[in-house]
Amino acid sequence: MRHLSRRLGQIVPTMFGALVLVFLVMRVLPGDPAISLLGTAATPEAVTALRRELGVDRSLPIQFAAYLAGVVRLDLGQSLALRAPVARLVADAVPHTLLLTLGGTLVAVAIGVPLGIAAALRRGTWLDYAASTGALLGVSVPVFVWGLLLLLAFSLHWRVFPTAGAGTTPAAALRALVLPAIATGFFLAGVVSRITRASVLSMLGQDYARTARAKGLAERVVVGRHVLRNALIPILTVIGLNIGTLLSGAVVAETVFTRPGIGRLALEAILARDYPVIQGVVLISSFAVLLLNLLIDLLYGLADPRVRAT
Amino acid sequence: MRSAASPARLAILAALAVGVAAAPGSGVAQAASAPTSTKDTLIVAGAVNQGTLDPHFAITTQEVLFTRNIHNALVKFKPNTIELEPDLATAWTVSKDGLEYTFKLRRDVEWQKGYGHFTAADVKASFDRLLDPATKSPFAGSLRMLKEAQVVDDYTVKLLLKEPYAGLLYLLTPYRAGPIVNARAAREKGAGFAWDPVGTGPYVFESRIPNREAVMRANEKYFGGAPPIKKVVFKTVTDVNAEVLGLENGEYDLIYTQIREQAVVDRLKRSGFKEALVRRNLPQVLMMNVTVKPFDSLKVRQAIAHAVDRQQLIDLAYSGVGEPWFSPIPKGYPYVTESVPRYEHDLPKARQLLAEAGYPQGLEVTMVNYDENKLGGEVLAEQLKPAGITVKLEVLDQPTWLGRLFRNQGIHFAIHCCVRQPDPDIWLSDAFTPTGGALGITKYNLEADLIPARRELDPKKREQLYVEIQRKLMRDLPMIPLMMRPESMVHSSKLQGMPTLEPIWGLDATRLTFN
Repeated sequence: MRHLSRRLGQIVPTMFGALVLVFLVMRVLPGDPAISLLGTAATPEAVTALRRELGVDRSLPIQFAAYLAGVVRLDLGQSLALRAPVARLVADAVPHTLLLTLGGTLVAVAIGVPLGIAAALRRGTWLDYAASTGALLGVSVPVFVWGLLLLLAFSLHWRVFPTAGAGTTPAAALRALVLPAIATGFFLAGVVSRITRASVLSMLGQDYARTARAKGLAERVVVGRHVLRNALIPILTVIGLNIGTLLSGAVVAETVFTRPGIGRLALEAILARDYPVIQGVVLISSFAVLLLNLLIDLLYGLADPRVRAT
Repeated sequence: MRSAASPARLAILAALAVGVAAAPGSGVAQAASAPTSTKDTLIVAGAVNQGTLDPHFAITTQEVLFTRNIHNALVKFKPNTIELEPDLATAWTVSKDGLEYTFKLRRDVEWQKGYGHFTAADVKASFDRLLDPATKSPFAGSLRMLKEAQVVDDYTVKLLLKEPYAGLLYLLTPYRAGPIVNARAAREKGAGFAWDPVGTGPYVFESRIPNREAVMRANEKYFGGAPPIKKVVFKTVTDVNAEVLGLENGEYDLIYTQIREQAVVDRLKRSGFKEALVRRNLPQVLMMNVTVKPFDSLKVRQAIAHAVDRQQLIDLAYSGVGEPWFSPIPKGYPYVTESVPRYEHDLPKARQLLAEAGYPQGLEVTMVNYDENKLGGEVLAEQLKPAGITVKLEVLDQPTWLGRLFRNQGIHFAIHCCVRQPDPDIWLSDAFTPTGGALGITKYNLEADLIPARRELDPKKREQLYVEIQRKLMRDLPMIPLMMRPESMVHSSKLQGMPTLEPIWGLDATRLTFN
């Protein structure tokens, strides 16, 4: 309980820090929203008018104070470039990114764990080498390359999945999720399979595994009931640590697959210097990453009761 | 085994998330049911978001694509020309001193969304709104010569100017300061007007999902008759590769983004798609800040001009699409002359000029371009090298580039371009006066020459003045014209009526049909 409350207590200062950082970093960048919106149409007169209209002509402390006051009231402000409430934009995007992150994680676990176990159990065989090569490919080929290859094959050649969008019905949403989830999941699958292999290998040599075998248990049971359960902790850790990476992969996947989502929202907001949207996205994503890491912590407890005891 | 429960939980979470994403009230469910491309629905994919449909704030070609079709102006461009024809005005007269423009208005115009009948009072209210400092429109400054709009009667309106401005009619086209908005609706809706615009045009704004799509439908009561395409859907697709795949998959009818790789365009053409090359009188120029070294030396600027090989630049950096251009006013504008000092590709002369300028061993300069001109910059750098000019290249995203230009942070040598209403004063004032802003790299001040030209109402005399200005610019050479660059758009072969010339951003959707 104390562990949980301490972790929860860390969330607010971490988010505040992230917010201050992104607020300052965005304003250090040359080019402001007015210039960005006006593009080559920008004249000093037009920039001044638009800066006033957008409210970015006020001093930085005043802008920051106004923003914080809004956040406390759960008002994330208005997008400068899209002229829509940030809360609505973020709320609209979050489910899609969550879905993609979850889909990517499922793909990673579904591919990575069995592959890693198989590679560990058949160490040194062609299967091990094939799994290692596959993992290397997964880790080293960028998401956009997987994305475009998948689109070419399954959207253009076989026309099984749509090239863009997120679907308007649950069935269409699932269909639209498949390719982006695979593209983002491949990276994590590579990582998961390597860590699973290493973890299972180290557990196979442990005393308890030998004892289990000595008891006369079948190897399937030794691996399934004893080894895997203990090997799960580092795997969960890796998944937890990589959720941030998966989110950054979502930026690319959401662009390649034209999926609405927090990544695409952030990318476009950065290019447009849309400060309130960037701040809103950072606020929500840092909250999400912190929360997910907390969840992973709690999952440790399920996998290993010793963690709960401490 | 407890760990076995984890995948099951993940599956439940996934199912829940699918449910949330598709649940009524979420953004996805609010989407208009995905429209299919039928004969009367045009689906356009573009890489840049639409931020506002309030035409007094709309800037990008993606925004103008909608505002031009939702709002009318007093005058508009005749299809595929820069000639002006009536829009909301049926006829107009100009007083001899050029200070009074009287417009007779159409009597059969209705505002959209039940905002009543259109009269001269609406025209006055629209200009009043634009010029009101409280509106904070970035385009108010472009109509700074307008003193006031006066209602003469219900269907006659007068624009009174502070000083003659020969290019005024070009400012009254459906772009920037020109569109006529329903000021009452703008007042009532406040900030909401940006996404609930009320115009008189052939299309009515229907719905929008920020960051994703906007829809406009045909105005069946349009005074010019309802347009053949009943619905236009603009989809924001930031990745051009995704746009191409979507076009090939039949999800979009038109890619409203320039595809940079000619090989991709050629492949699409081989697959039966069509490429529309739309001229927007868009020049590509090389600008030099004449107030800093070494560009303060005319001989250095001339040396650079002689080192440039325009056709090679077009072939290597712009896929061969474009036309070499040598005059400082963009081709297609009135009063353009090609009878100006020309600087042909001549490397020995470039080296000699450089030596005369005091750089016999050559010199090093920095060219700072925004991302769109990256390749152009690389080709120019290679072209300048044999002349003894080493070009250090820096590439920035456009907002950063513009930010540095506005803060005077080292943008002294760059490729640049822009679309303006085709009156020489609009382009030249932006490029060569202190109010120029985003085009004001050169710091070369032409204002004294531009004043008489913009006030001259006699076209012949005005032409003489602009011919002189063009010669002077090419003698002093603050800018090297490089090429005229058409905009390439790829579309379904069924889509007909794409323009060959659009002097302003956007497209006139009323002219598009499906065969």
